[in-house]
Amino acid sequence: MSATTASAAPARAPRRLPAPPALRLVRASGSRATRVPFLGIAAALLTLGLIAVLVLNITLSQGSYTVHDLREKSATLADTRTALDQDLNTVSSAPHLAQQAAQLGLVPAGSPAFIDPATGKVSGVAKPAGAEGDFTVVTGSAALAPAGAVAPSLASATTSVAGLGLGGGLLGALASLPR
Amino acid sequence: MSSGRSTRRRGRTGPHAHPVRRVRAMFIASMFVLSIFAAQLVRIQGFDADKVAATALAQRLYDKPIPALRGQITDASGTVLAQSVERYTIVADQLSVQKYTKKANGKNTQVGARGAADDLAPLLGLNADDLFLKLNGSKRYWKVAVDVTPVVWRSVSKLAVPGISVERTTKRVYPSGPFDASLVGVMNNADVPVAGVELMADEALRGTPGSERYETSATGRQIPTGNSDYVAPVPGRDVRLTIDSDLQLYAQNELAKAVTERNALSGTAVVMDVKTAQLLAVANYPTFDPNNLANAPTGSTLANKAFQEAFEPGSTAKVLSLSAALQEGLITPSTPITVPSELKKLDKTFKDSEEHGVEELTATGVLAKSSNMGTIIASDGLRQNAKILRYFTDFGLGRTSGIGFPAESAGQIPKTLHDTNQYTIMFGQGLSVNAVQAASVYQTIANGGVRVAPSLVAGEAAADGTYTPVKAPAQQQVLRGDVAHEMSEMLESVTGDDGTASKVRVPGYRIAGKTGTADRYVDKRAVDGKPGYEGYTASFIGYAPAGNPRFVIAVMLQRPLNGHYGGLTAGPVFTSVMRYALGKYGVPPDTAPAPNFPVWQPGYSADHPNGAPLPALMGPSAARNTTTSAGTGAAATKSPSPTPSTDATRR
Repeated sequence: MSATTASAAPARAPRRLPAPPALRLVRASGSRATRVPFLGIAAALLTLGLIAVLVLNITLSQGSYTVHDLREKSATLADTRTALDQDLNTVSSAPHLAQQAAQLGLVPAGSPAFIDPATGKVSGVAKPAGAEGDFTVVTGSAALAPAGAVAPSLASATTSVAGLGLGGGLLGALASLPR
Repeated sequence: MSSGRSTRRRGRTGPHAHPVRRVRAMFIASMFVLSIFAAQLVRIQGFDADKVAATALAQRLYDKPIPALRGQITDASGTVLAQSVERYTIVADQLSVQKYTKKANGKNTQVGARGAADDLAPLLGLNADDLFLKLNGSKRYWKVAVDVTPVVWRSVSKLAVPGISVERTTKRVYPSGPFDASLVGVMNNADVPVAGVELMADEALRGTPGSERYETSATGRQIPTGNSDYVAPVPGRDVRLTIDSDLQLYAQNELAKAVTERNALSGTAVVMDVKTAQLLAVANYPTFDPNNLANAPTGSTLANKAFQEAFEPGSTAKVLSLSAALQEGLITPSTPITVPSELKKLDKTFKDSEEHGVEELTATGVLAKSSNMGTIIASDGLRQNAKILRYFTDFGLGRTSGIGFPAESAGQIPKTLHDTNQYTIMFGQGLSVNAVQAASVYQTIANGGVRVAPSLVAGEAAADGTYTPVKAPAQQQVLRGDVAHEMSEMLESVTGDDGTASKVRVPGYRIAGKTGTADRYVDKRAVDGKPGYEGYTASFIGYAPAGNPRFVIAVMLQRPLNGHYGGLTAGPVFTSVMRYALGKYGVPPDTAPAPNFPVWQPGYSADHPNGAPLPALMGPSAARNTTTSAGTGAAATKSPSPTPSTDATRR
């Protein structure tokens, strides 16, 4: 193997070529003068490119800051909107409206009378507002259950029938779960 | 092998050993090492691959459920009755909180838990000292505040206190509180619906929770390039009820006052639209506060008795037997019916609520005076082939409404006619109904004999806003139109001057309705602890305007102690709620005068009490088809009645 490798070198045979033309010196004139502008341009391009990338990066990061701020603002506004919606639902609920109206001294409308525009006939019996007596909204624990008004003699009947109000067994038992 | 040894020897003798052998030796050495690697690789990647990968992934993977936002429950006009809101639980890593630093006068100072407590307390609305106790310590996980709104959490997170994090939760809010609680229901502390529409429509409301699964680093941060899997949650659908929350409030409020004033055990009031049979209000008292379940007062209940409690209806069920008698041609509104002072059937003696002598009533009078004996006589023919039971079924008794309300009671009707129940069911004892079924009977009569199945849900709205109304409820012609009309006119006599509900009036409107004062069946009587009858169920069910009915209202008071007649106790609630409903909906008054069917037979005068009418008017009267045993009651011997409810007070 090594013998084969060693004998490989002399395999190349010298070739005879036609005689070349006589060599002569060529003047390399002006080569030093043309390199400066090229380097200048290259450096300038490099600098400009770097500056451009820098500017681009700054702009992009500035943009992402803006996006971040706006996202934050949008999320805050969405949260505020949800909170306001919820407040609105609470204050526009019927019990709240009724209580507010009662506090302001408003009373339910009395029974209305109706006028038929075609015949001019009046039907119904109109009564002024408040004629039906005071309207109060039951609130607090009285809105949930009467305050211990069960007569003692019937207390046991109460328990058996309604399970002390927790009627329906399963459903009632769940009422006592802490929340 | 020999070449390997020679290489080594040559290598030792000098740096310029045979290169080929050296390469070969290194090749073999590295192949040896690599084959060990390869074997290990095959073991890990091949044989144990699944196990190892799974262990590694399990260490990195984090599953985060994303709860779906539960749908709203609204009334018919869109007023929110129940909604879910996003809330946060603030959690502290107490060790990290110690590192809280603030920049003061240009330099950072470590203020720790004390400083954090001072900063967070005003935002969370907590006492700074209490908060300090929660933030100070060495626990890595400690709940600091619950039910924090997103707005507050946002301002808290801006402080960037180390070790403060949140967990997202949802909270169910009920803006109307107790006023429609028994209907809307509630979620328990484990976010499971336990009653009402919350439970009934849970499938629509709850939505499908999503999930987020991603790989985390050792410090718990998400690995940006790791596996991640996100399934968006599908929010629940909004459920729109047929309820009018204003009417609901009014009915609930009036009922609460009446139950308290009459010292009753409980009460229900049902308002139903006559044409559509949609429930406009379902009030129950006592009830509960869904926003404050933990502090429920004694007697507070989750039950919705309008659906869940079956009771013996008593006289309000006389319309069933008398309507059936009208349709079967047994009576007309003016059929004379002579009612004896007592009536013996089988071994029972029936009486009316008030002692009276022989009364010469019309069929209308039987209803207006709420005569038990008169009803037995008038509807006697309905016992043949148990015809009455078919009417009960047609009117919707003995089966649930189809609404699907949780724990709804179907009530009970007898399967066969036997013993005395064949007489008592004619006047509403020996069968049981719930309040919605009772209202439905009157809806049928008010709607020209067409029973429409009651409904509570109007439709569902998906998260994208598409609204799907429920399909129209089933309708059935139970009574002929003319029969329903006659019955309606007869019912107007109840609120007439001679009726049992002469105080139930709304000026300008004609009211058709019926009082009920039934014996109340209990499992355990206070007297002897045995099952039997004790106390009364007082009720009034009716509709207005009688000429062109709009609303059916059924009011029931269970075991009122302060007065017990239906007209007296339940009547005022009916009047008040009906007046409000008619006014709110701008229902034009009745223009035609009331029909005014005669209550007494021609020539008979009620001014002769205790059965002493003129001799000329005595004797067997011609109650058409129905007088088979009417006259036999007078000679009856009174026997002690082991079965209750035969001789008790009913009107």
